[in-house]
Amino acid sequence: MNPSPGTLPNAVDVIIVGGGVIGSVTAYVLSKAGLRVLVIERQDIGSGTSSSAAAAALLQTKTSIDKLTLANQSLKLLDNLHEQLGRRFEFAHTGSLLAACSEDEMQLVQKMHANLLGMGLDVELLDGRQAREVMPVLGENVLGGSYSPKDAQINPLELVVACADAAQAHGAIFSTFTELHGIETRGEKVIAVQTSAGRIETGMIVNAAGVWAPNVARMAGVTLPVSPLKGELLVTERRPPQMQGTLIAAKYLLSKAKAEGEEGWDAPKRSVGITLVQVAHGNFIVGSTRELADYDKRSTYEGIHELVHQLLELTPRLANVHLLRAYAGLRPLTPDGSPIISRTPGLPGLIHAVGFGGDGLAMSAITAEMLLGMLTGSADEALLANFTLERFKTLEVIR
Amino acid sequence: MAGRLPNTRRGVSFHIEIDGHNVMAHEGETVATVLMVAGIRAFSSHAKPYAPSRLFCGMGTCQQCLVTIDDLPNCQACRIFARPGMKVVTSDEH
Repeated sequence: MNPSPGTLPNAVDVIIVGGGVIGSVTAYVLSKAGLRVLVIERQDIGSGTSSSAAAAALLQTKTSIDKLTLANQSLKLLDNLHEQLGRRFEFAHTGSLLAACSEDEMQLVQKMHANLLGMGLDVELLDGRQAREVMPVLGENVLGGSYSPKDAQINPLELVVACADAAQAHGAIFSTFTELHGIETRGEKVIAVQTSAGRIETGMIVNAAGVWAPNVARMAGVTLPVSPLKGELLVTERRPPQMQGTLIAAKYLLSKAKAEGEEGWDAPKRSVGITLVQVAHGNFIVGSTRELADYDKRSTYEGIHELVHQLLELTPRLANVHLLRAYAGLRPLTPDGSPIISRTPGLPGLIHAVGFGGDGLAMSAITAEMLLGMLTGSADEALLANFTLERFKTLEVIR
Repeated sequence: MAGRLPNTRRGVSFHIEIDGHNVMAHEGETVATVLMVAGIRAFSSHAKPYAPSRLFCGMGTCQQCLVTIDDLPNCQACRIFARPGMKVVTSDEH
């Protein structure tokens, strides 16, 4: 997994930069289709954003039909992966409940519910009593919520490792602790990459480096509008099972909208809308704050305080559960909140698959299929048109 | 074998319950101290591979001395002072 210079092949069909969830799922899908794949990972598999995710793949937080359709397709593909791959990744459609604690929040939930129904998602509006039946852990002050049974839980690291293992079984090579140093081009063609493990020829690069993807793009003279959106999370001790599915605070919608809305990526100072999952081992995972803080990944007292405060508002009976650890991760955020799944104008051999915000887990499988489509010429161009790099017209592509 | 040092001034004595047995403790002693003096070696068991764990760092860092105190699981025996009537349960299964 950590080859010394000269041990890698001289040439491959595709080089994927980044061994996180996007890179690993893509490596599996492409290698299974018969392509010779090399993944270059600067650190270890899944060591970046994928290891600090909130363990949920949600449908009912999607605000547009495009995103919902893709997330739906992606969750179906993850179902298949869970069956196909040798290794399980704790994927289950345990549902999600969007819970409101005030009249204002309830109005927001009702609006969201109507919107989701209109988009064809199976969602049910619940009053407080019904919400507590679905999630007994909820407190008396929860007025109601919307329940989506198909939303899923997932173990992000297990998914990454399962896909990396399966990809390697199909001949993909993962070169970890390997730095990308440069991209060689000739005219409009990619011809090779320079790495700390040597030079490798390839006609195709998939930039799946998440929040670090702009550094990769810059090597080809391309400006990629991706910024790190910090999220602080908490994990508690193990407890016997007390809840199924993901609890989402209605405040989450406000927080997400603020971060991804028309106010753009320089709007939020810090906002918090929690999600709560009890994972297979019994730990509770509480996510998350949203804050533009450059590449800072430190936990803060303020962040921990805000997460705990909101958690106890929704689930006061968890007050005696011990916190185990606080941690933070960086979501790759684009100016309009949608990912970039796009060839580079003027350099079609460099494909970007970045900017999934907090939806990278949910979107991973469909993204890998879209990339396969792009490489084999069978892509749904109309769908891809939503995710082009060129849509950021004000941003100059330097090439 | 751990034991209390002789000829030492201690706080007032009282009883706590450890795994259903009445055990004497002194004010100012941590739960871990009382467990050690009582000859209890295994405080809890690891989630994997179910091996016993016990007092190790003695300063609240290593999480090896977790016991259930008054029905609250995963309490650090090394950081919590014994209180009269406290109910301690060791080897809480994970």
